[in-house]
Amino acid sequence: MPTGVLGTIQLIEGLIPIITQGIASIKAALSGGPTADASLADADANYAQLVAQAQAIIAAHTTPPAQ
Amino acid sequence: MKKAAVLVVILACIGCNASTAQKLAQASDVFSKALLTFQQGEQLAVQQGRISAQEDIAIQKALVQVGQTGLALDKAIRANESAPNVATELNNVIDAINTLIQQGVGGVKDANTKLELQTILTGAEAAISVIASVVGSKSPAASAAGIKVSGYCAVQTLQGTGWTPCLQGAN
Repeated sequence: MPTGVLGTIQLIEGLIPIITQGIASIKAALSGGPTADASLADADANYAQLVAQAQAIIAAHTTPPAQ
Repeated sequence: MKKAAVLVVILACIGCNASTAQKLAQASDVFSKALLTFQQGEQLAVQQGRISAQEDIAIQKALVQVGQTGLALDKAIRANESAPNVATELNNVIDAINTLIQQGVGGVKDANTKLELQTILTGAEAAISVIASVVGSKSPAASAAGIKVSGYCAVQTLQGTGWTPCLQGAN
């Protein structure tokens, strides 16, 4: 196991992702629910699905049956 | 320990400015889910023969408009646009919802089915009123009576939220 300055740097490197993940969790909890980006991504997918399904239903009604 | 507490407070406040966008985004997400639920319920009624093909087409055409205006609303929220710009997109969403209610659901002949569809839409209307209140714009405005846009005011009825032409000068 490295010691001295190199060891300290490696320790910090290892801790950064853990700290980052912890900060994200704290921010999400303190800010009350999903982030704006997550909510908008979900909403966009829902709107797109709604439009696609509606267009498919309209097409099914208006397309004449095959001969 | 004290330093850690200060750090947490500082980090938490990074999101302070984003809280409005977050509320709008969450409301838009709820709105979009409510619309999908409405569409599923409406299709069930179609399968049961309670909604005609012509009525179904009118509803689905209105849903296409609502979905497209919803995507534009999300774009405005994501771009962190000013309240008036978000309100403009919100107006388009509410216009599309008005069309869905009046020309889509309003055209359903079966009274019970119409009532069911109106009830399912109440959730979507509630989410939109949240957005209107966060944007804080005059038009549409969140008021004690509900929301108003394009000459129509939301009113609470026994069946849920209904729409009626606003009286002149009403907010």
